[in-house]
Amino acid sequence: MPQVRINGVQHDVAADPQMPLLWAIRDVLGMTGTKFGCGIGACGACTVHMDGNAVRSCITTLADAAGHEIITIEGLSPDGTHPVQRAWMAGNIPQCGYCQPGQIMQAAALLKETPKPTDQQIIDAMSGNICRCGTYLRIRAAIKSAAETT
Amino acid sequence: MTPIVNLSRRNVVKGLAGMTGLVLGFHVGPRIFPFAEAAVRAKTFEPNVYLAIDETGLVTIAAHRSEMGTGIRTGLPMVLADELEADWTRVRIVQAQGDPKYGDQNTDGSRSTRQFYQPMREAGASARQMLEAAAAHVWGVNANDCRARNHMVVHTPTGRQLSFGDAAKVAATLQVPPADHLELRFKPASERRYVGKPMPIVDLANIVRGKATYGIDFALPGMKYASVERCPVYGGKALSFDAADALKVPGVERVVAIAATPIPSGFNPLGGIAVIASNTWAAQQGRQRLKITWDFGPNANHDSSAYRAELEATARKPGQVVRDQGKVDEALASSAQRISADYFVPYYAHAPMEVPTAVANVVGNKCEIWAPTQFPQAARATVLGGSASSVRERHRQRDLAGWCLRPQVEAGLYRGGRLAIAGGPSAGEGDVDARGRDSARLLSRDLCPARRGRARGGRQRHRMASSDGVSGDRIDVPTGRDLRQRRRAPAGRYRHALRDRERSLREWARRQPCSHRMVSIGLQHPTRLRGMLVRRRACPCGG
Repeated sequence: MPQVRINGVQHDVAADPQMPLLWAIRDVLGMTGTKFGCGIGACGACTVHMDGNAVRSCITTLADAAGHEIITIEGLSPDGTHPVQRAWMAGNIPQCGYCQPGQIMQAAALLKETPKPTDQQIIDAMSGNICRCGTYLRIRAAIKSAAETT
Repeated sequence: MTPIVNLSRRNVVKGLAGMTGLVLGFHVGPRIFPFAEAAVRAKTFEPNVYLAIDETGLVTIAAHRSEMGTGIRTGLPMVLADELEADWTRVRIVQAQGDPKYGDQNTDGSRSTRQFYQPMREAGASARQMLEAAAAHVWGVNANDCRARNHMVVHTPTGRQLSFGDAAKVAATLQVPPADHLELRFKPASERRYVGKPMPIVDLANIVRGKATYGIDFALPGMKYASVERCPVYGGKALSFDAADALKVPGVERVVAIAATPIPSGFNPLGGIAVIASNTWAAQQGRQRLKITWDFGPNANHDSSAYRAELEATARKPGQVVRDQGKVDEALASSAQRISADYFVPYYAHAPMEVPTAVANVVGNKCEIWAPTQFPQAARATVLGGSASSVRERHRQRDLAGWCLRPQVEAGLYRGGRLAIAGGPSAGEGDVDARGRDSARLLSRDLCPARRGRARGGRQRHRMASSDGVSGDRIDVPTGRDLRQRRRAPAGRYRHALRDRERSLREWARRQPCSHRMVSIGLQHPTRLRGMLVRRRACPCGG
């Protein structure tokens, strides 16, 4: 039985080790903040952190995740006040919001790695996260704002 | 005048949250199709939006439109709250369920604000005036001296204040003036608190914390998950299938065939082979291991290039004329200047971020469904079909299926305890045998975009001409059938669209720096609309 550590809690997941982490998180563990978009790592909606790096949980198996520290949108900060979340609140970024947990996780990973990203670095880092509502410009502004306040 | 009914003293509604206090129901009548308005008005006094104010002053507003990222879940309640003089921090928004009492909840056509802005103002203003009247009653003063201000009613001459909660308690016991005697006073624009101001969406905090509940997030204990393999060609069906490998996937429990609805299928099941499993991934894995022999059906040889050519030909032929005024042909023939442009939109995948999804729970002959849908009433109608079964459809908090023009997922209960979760041609679809099961969720991203129906392509032809003196007006609707063999919709459906075009046209004409009279425009849309408007418009320059 695969053991994964998610948001600081060790879980014994009663599932096939080849099951994508996404479905373990959503269907087995019941945490629905991480979204299913495409299932092939093409949209970014399922982005979580693995040892601080942004990964697509739909193409990361439970076996791959075992032994690593996984953080989901629910665990990004204890009270939802991570600088990226604050910037998202201040900028009223989401529209429908479905892609936003993935966007936020991607942005948080970017800022951890590159605290003061250039415009091009932001574009590059966020290029795999799709937003059908088209909030890209606001997202970029929020990332810059979060970078300035940290 | 919108009829306002105090529902507190009726058994119809026990308040939005079972609360006591003032509960107002008001009818927000569809205003989009003026030609049908009289008929709509005549049949509805049924309230379809509710406002509740409880004893603590908590204002609860039901958002009766589907949120797809436009912000309508925030926008319309905001209009009501503003006119009510409510403190936005003490307003709670609840998502209205799909229910006939809300009237038509079809959230399409970019018309929610246009259609409901004024009714929301009326709802807010009437409630505010009732609170003012209640305060006047308590104080034994003239209601005209009482004014609601930011969740309080203030007696202007003395400065006395009564909270909304206390006023609501009294208002709930008062006789409501007849609707046609209620003279609404609206706030002047200068006193607006929220309308026209930047406001965060009501779900913002939940979204950024991953706590917003979307259709795909709803779950019932012990529910099963289904994934359906559909025929790659619209209108086709499975001839036979081999589920042996699918059933070997751990977690897969059953494989069932779903009958296809013949063309035109409308929102009914498109058919396919459903794999039912204990989790989504197992269902998807099982589906990929199905071996299916398809009969591609009447569209087996459909060729999108040939179809495009057909559309182009159709768009140039005269259609069924539904409006004809003035001298259209003459205006076009005599115009000094003409502009013509052809537009074509190919088939394209909707590919909404949230996959088409639904959860259905069957108990006995009752079925309850949770689905993100733009049009709960149509979904319900599809589900009910000829069945007398009771269906409750809940409209979950968010509807993410943006861009789709039709209900995303419908569900149905058919005779023999067979539960079907069905999508329209543009939606994911499934049909789950739920006998002996409590509930199941259908999820079908893999089917999208490859197995989902494409949005119908379209083609438009616009013609404009300028001339002097001659004008006319004609709308004609193309005849013929599209891929789905659907008949064209009645022309009346498009009149509002045409009016919008006319409005744009007027704007365009106003901006022209020339001395021309802009007299004609042709609209042609082979799959949905072909109209021709010929208008005489004077330019601002007076030419």
